[in-house]
Amino acid sequence: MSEPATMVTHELAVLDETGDTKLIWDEDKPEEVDAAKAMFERLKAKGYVAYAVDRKGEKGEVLERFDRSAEKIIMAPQMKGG
Amino acid sequence: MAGEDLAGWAGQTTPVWPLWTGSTASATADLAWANWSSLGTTGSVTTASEVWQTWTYETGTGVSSAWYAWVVTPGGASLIEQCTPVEQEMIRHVAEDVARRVDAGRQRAEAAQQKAEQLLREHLTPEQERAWQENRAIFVTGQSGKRYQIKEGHTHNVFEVDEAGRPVREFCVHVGFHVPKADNVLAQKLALQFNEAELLRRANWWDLSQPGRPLVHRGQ
Repeated sequence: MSEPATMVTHELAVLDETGDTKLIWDEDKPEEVDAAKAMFERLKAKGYVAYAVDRKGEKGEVLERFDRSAEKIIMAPQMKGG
Repeated sequence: MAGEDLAGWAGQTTPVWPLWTGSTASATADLAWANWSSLGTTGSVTTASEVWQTWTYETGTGVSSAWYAWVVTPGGASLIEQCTPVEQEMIRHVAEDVARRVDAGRQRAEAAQQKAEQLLREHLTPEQERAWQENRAIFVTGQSGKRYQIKEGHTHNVFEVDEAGRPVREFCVHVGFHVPKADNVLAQKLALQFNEAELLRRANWWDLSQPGRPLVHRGQ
């Protein structure tokens, strides 16, 4: 008997006044992918910066377009000088 | 006429200054202070706690105490006493509501900081985790290979450091005061690691190796 496929979840964390707001999606569920993509694009339009990072946060890159296969995306408001 | 305007403010025919000082028009700043602190002594009384106690009419520090005291004049006619019982009850309800909102806001901020702290620590190396626990600061290597130290905070908390770990440049750049400090630190860390040039472009910098700590770059 073959083992059931392991569901891989991906996470989008938005830094905000609550600490962070998380959105999780399963690549195999189109509605979840669409929801994550919609949030990503809405925040990008507001000037947020998106980082695709591995679980440890050691490897990563700036993300200009939503990547459904990204392990974890962290979105932060744009930096400004103080 | 100016004199009449002043009398109007005082609600009577005497000028404002004597009312503020409780004395004649020749009264000094010391007398004004003594009146404000309501201690009836000289201007040598300057402790903030004594003034606070007077403003709150007690030793408490709650917002409701301050609110209640604003409508109470120690030793004099009380505005709240001039209100009807129903009005007095309304004032107390407002004061209590204000205190509840302030407390709720404080709890939300504390919860947000704890959540942000958890997210930050998920993205620290073991070495950074130790440094954060000990010093509330982490060292980060930027994309360029330069080393930075990020201290807990929102502003003036990022430093370029030399081989010995000494700060040589100070940067002020942040994502805004609405996010908890730990979120700001995480955002700065990610920016240095993966978007260093953009962070430096947006930051204000100061050269710590020069006398007077000159500003050498204004953020764009």
